[in-house]
Amino acid sequence: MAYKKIFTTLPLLYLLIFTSSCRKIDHLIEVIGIDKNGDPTIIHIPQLEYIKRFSRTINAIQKPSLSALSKIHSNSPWQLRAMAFGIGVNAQVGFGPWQIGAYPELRLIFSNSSDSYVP
Amino acid sequence: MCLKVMKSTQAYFIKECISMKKTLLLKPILLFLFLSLSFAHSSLAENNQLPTAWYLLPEDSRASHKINSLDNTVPAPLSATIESLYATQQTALESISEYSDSQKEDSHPANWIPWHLDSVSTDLGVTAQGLIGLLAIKGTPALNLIWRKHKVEPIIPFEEPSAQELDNPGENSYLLNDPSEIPISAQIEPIYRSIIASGKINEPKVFKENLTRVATDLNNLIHTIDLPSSSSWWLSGYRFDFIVSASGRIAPAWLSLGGELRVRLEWYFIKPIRSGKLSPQNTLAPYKASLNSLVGSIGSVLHEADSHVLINGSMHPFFCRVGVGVSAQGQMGIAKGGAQVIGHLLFSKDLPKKNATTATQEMNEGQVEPTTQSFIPLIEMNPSQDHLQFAQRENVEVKQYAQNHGIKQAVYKIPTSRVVEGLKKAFRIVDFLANRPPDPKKRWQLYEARAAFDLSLTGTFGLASVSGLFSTMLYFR
Repeated sequence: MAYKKIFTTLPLLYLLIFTSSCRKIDHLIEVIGIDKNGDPTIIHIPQLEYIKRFSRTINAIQKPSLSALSKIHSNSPWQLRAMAFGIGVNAQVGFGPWQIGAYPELRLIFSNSSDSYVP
Repeated sequence: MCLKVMKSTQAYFIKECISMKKTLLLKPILLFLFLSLSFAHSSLAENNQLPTAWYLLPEDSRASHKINSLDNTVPAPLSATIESLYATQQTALESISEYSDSQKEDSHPANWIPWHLDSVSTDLGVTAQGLIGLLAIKGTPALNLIWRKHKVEPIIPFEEPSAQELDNPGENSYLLNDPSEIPISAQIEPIYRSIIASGKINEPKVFKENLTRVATDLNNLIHTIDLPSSSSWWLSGYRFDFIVSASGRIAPAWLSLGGELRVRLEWYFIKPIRSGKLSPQNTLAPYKASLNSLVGSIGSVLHEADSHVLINGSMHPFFCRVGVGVSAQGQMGIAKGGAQVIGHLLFSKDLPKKNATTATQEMNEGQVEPTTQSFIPLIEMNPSQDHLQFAQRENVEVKQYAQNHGIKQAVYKIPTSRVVEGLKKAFRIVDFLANRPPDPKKRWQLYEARAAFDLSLTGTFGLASVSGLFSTMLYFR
């Protein structure tokens, strides 16, 4: 009897696992990384992980940068109107031997103008 | 590996359950699960590559160089991949916190607003296999996306200067649209000081004289360039590199001096320059005809391609940066691959006010003067035999030159009609990849897209791959 129960409930359990795995598969995004031969290739990383690291990185940069920029005072006829930061979002992606460090690069442009130029 | 284990486990259970004949009702469910799993997994492995003709140049592949209709060539998984990338980026941007803690002071300009995070730029790349994704390694981005928050209003409303004010600047103000209005000596002073500070120039006085002369000659040369009056594109800037020797001599980067230092002279204009006369003493005079012809041809093909291509999205092409090379005979042309770029020509187009015109209307306005030159030179250093043979097969005229140190050079004469078709394709590629309808509910919007292309000797354009070089950048806004 217990044997039968196992084999009736296991597929249902599998259904549960499968459904959750499908959700993850649907929420992967493509990132260009390096394969084991050193060639550029596509790696899939979880979307939520990317979003989390992306916003964490920008928030970490944003507050101290704005604080420092607001303290710049100058009597020169030249005014600082924009500043660009280049940063990388550190994310470990992949499994086991394929695990690599991926660094999607971002540029943040801070400005005190409503019409800043993006270099 | 993980997927394989899951599949085999699943197969095992299906087999077991069916063999027991106890779970007849589960059979269709399991069958459905099996098929769904297969489809779900195969969708990742499915071909979501860019169409080959988008990123591989015909001379570098066996791919057809025909200008394919995008509607017929875009695989569905590719659209899904790109939509997913944009959705992820949009969600990530929406999750950023907002900070601003600066106060306006008397010394601030009238249109000053508090310091804020204005834009975020991300890169998409294309692999050699044509797969597209967020660029997470060092390499050439195929597409640079600039996201911006909704326009931030200034604290004090800033009034745009009228056209009259721009034409009649006050006594103490300068208009930077025309470098001739500021003495060249004043413009080059920072460059002069920084190079002298390097300690590599033995004759500062000679160097200053030469730098002044080169900057003056280059400015004078550019001010003699004529663009077809009907072209909606105009020359909005230029940059050229020069080599400096220890004795203070300066020569264009394409003439070897054996110097260690390079200096880049670069100017931007905020409105079309007025055509002037070439100075009789201009040392760059031999390049006038070639540069004039190249600028005219590029201006014409940009206008013609832009006027006859249907842009579906809300962003339109407004800026183009072209890498320029020069042949051993002094002929200027587009540099193939970007490896031998000695300067850049920047072209701009004034974008119409939002909702003022539609793409369909623009298509009907394509009245273009005939291009002054029937071909655009494409300059390649050390061309391969494959390229030369391919040019012959394609009936593209090519001239070969030998330079110093065994370097060979090929100048392909690409018919402008082919470049126009190539540009149309490039415009449609950017339109497909970058143009998305703005969502007014979102704080962040895609503001600008910059796509990198290389020009084929057949006149078609290919998106730059991660490890590739590019000569042309198209900007959409």
